[in-house]
Amino acid sequence: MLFSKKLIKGGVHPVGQKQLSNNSDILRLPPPKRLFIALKQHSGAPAKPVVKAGDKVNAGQLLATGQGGSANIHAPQSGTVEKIAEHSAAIPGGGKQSMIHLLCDAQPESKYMLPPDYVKLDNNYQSREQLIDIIADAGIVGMGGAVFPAATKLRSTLNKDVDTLLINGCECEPYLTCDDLVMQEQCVQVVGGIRYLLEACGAKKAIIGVEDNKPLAAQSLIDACSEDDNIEVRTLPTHYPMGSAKQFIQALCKVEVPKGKRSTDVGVFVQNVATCAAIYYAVRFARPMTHRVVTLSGAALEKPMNIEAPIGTLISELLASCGGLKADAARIVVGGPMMGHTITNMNTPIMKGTSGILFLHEDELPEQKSSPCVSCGRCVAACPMGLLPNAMAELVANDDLEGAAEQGLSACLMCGSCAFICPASLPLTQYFSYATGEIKRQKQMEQKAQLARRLNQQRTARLEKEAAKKAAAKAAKKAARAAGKRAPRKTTKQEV
Amino acid sequence: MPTLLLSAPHIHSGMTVNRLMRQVIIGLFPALLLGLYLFGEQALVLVMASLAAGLLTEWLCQKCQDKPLGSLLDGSAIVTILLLVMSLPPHFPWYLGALGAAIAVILGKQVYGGLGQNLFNPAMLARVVLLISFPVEMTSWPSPVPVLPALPGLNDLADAFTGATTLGAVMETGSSIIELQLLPLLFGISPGSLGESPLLLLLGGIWMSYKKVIDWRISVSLIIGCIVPATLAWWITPETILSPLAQLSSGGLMLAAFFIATDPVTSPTTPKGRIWYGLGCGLLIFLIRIFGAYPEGVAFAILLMNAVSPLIESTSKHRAYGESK
Amino acid sequence: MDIINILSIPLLATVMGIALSLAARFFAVEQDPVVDNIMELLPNGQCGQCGLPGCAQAAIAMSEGKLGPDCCPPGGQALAEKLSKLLNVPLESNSSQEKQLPQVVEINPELCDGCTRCAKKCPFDAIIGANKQLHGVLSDVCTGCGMCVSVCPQDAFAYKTDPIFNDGWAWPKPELS
Repeated sequence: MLFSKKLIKGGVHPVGQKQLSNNSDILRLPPPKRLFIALKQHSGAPAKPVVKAGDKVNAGQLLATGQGGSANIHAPQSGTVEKIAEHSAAIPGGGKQSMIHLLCDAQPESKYMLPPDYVKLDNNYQSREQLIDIIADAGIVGMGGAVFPAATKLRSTLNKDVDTLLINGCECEPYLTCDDLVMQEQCVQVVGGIRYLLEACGAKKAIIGVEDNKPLAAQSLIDACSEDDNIEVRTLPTHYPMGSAKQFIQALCKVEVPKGKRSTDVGVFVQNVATCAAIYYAVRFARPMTHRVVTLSGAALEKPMNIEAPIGTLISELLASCGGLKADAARIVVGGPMMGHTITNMNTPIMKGTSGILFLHEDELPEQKSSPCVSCGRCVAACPMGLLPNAMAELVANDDLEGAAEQGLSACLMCGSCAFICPASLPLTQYFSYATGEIKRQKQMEQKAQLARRLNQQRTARLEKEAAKKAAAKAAKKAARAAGKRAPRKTTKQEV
Repeated sequence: MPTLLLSAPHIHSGMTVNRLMRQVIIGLFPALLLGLYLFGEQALVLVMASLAAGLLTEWLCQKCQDKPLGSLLDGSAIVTILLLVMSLPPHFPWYLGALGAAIAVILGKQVYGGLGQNLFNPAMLARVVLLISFPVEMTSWPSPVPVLPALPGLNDLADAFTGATTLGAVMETGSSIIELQLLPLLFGISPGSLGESPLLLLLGGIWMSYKKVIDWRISVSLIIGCIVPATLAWWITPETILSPLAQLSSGGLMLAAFFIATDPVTSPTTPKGRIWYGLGCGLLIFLIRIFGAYPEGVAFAILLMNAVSPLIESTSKHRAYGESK
Repeated sequence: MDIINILSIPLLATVMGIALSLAARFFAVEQDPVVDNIMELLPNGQCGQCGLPGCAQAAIAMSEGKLGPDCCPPGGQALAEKLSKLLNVPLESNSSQEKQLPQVVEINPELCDGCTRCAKKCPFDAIIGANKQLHGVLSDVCTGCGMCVSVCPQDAFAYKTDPIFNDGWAWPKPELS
C-alpha cells in the first residue's frame, strides 16, 4: 500500500460495516396501507400534481409531472388519492413537504411489484431522443445520492461527445449495501440498463467500477456482461470517497473534471448501478421508478437487511418489517454515515434517493466534544478535492465567507472525510454546509438589493421627468396668462 | 430520543488529540527511560519537578480563562514538558527545570490563547530562554553513570567519555579529529541531553510514523536538509567537520526530526510545505552547528522555521482537484 | 553648541506643526468622500427605517459614527457587511438564533380596495395594481421598507419573512462547546 500509487487524492478508510446487511437477500415488502409520495424527490423544482383528492389511480400511473428539468412521479400501488398535503419528510432539518397521500388498495397489482409478469416491450423506440423520452417519462433519477433526473443528464449529452459510460458500483459509504445487493441479484437488469444507456448517451464503451469489498457483486456483473465486448468490470480499491463522481472519473479514466465543468465535458457519463436497473425496467417493461432498495442497518437494529419498498413507505414501517430495534438508537441517519443526515421522526417516507436508514447505537458514534484545532493537517491530507479544510473552517468560524469561497469552498463535496479524520472532532462539514447556504442567500440578497437600487433610480428619474413636464406646462400656462389670454378650459380640468 | 442537529459524518476515525499526544509520549519513552537509567535520580527529580511545575502552571492558566482551549490532561502540556526536559542537561537544577516548564506553558502556549494557538514550539522556546538565562547550568554535561551496574558493557562504554558533548568538543577545539566511538554515540551513552539516544528516538519516530502520529515528510526532509550539506562539507574539509554519521547521532537532531519539528501546531499543514519546512530546519541546524556560536542549533533552527511556517504554508498550497496543472 | 542641539528639535517641530495646520486648512476636503461611498451602496428608498428622514442623512450619520453599519433593514445582512467593511466598524455579532430575517410585505386581498396609494408610494415600484383593482407585491423586489404600510388606509399590509429565506432549512453555524 505504501508504494502503490493512489487512484484518488486524499480520502479515508472508514470501517465498512457492510457485513451487517449484505448477507441476506433483498426482502420484498407487501404494500403498506398508505404511501406518502413527496412531490420533491429530485433536484430541481417540485413536481406538479396531476391527480386530485379522491382520484382512483392504478399502479404505475403518473401522479405528478416534472417541471423545469425535474422528474415525473408515479403511483407505486393502485389506490385512492386521499389528499395532497404537507407531511413530515426525511430531509435535513426535519421539515414538512407537500406529499400525495395514497390509500393503497388491499390487492396490489403484482404487475408493478416484481418480476416476472412485466409487459414485455420490444423496440419501442427508434431514436436516441425517443429512448431518452422513455427514461424521462419513467421519472428516473440518479439513485447514488444526487437525485438528478437521469433524462436531463442524458439530454445534455446530445450535443456533446461522450466516449465512455462509467457505471458507479462503488458504494463507498460504509454500512450501505443496497447497490451491492442490486448488483448481485439484478446483475442482468443492470447490464441490460447499461446497454440502453450506451445507446442513450452515445458512448462507445462502458466501464463498471466496483470496490474490491464487493467481490460477489463484481463476479455477478462479469458473468452478466460476458457477451458484451464494450462493457468492462473493473475492481477498485476500497477507499472513501471513491464513489463520488469526480473521484470515480479520476480513478477510472485518470482525468480530472476541470473546475466548473461537468463530467460530460471530459467525455464521460456517470450513472449509478441501481439507476441502470431502473432504466432497464423502464425501457423494457414500461415500469416507472416506483420502488427502490433501501439498506436498513446499524448496531441498534435487530435484523439489518435490504428491503425493496415502494417509494413513499414510512420509515417506521420499514423498521417494523425488519424486526425493530434491539437497543436504543442514539442516532437515526438517512443515507450513509459519512454524508447522511439525522432524523428524529420515523413517520417520514422514503424517497427516490433514500439509499439507507441507519439506526446507530451509541457505541458506533463519534465523540461529540470537539477540542481546538492543532493544525495537524490530517484534513488537508484527507481532502479528495485538494482543499484546505482547516483554513476554510477557520475563515467560516470568523465569518469571513468570502475568504472561504476564495479557498475553494464551492468545490467541497461535503464528503465528510476531513471531519471523519479530525482528531479535534471539529464539525468541519457543518461549517461548510453552513457557509455554502449562507453564501447562496447573501448572493440572493445582494441581487435583490441591486434590483431595488436600479428600480429606485429609474423611478426617481421618471418622477423627475414628470415633475419637469408639469413645471414646463405650468410655466407655459403662466406665460400665456401673462400675455393676457385665458387658457383654454380643458387644460384647467387636466390639472385636477 | 436522538437529537436532530448533528452534522455528518456520523462515524469517526477514532483518532483524537488526546490519543495523538499519548502516542507521542509512548514514542518518547524508550529514550527517556534510557536517560533516567544513565543519569540517575538527579535526572528523575528534574523530570518530576518540571512535570509538576508545568502541569500546575497549565492548571492555573486554565483556571484564569473563561473558555480554556484544551484541557489539563489532554497530553499537550505533558509532551511539551517532556520534550523540554529531554533537551536539557541531565543534571540541570530541578528548580530551573521547573521554571523552564512554567515558561514553556505560559510564554510558549497560554499567552497565545492555549492549545493550537501558539506560533513557536513551547519546549524550544523555553529551552532558548533557559540557555540564554542560565548559560553555565545549560552547558555542564555530566558523564553518564548507569544507576544499575547490571550491564557491564554499557558501563565500559560510558567510561570512555568525559566532559564535553561531541558537538561541544568539536566547537571548542575546532577540529573533528576527536576520539569518537560511534556505537555508544548511537545509543546515546555519551555526555549530552537527558533524552539523546539517537537509536531509541529513531525507533520511537519510526513507530510514530507507522502509526501516522507524525508526518514522515518533516522527519525525512529535516534529516536530509542537515545531512546532505554536512556530508558535502565533510567531504571538503574532513578535519574540521564531523562525519555525517556522527552528525546524525549527536546533539538533538533525532529529537528534532521526529518529535520537535513534527509538532503539528507550529509546522505547516500542507504536504509540500512540510517538506520545505523540514529542509529548512535541517539546513539551519547544519549552519548553526558549523558557523554558529553554539555547538548545537536545534532550538534556534526550529524557532526560526516556526516563524516562517505560516508563510511556507500560504505559499505551498497544492493544486486542488480540477484546477489546471 | 549645546543650545543649537537643544533648540533644533523644537524648531523643527514648530515648522512642521505650522506646515500641517496650513495643509489642513488649504487641502481640506469639503465633504467626507465616505458619505458618497455609503450613498453608492444604500438602496436609496428613503424609507426612514433607520430613524432618519432619508438615505443621504443616514449616510452622513453613518460616516460620523452615529448610526451603525446595520441600520438599514432593506439592505439586509449583505449591505451591513459591506458597510462594516467600508466604515471599518465591526458588526455586532448577533447570535444566529436571534437574527431577524429580512421581511417583505404582502397584501391581504380581502382588505385591499385598490386605492393605488401604496403603489405610488413604493420607492422600488414593487407594488403593482390598477385603480379599484387588487394590488400585488413583487416579493423578489420588496425590501420591506414599510412605506406602503404607512399610507394604506385599509391596513391591508402584513409583513412576512423574505421568501429567499423560506426555501427550506439551512445548517446553522456550529457552536463549539
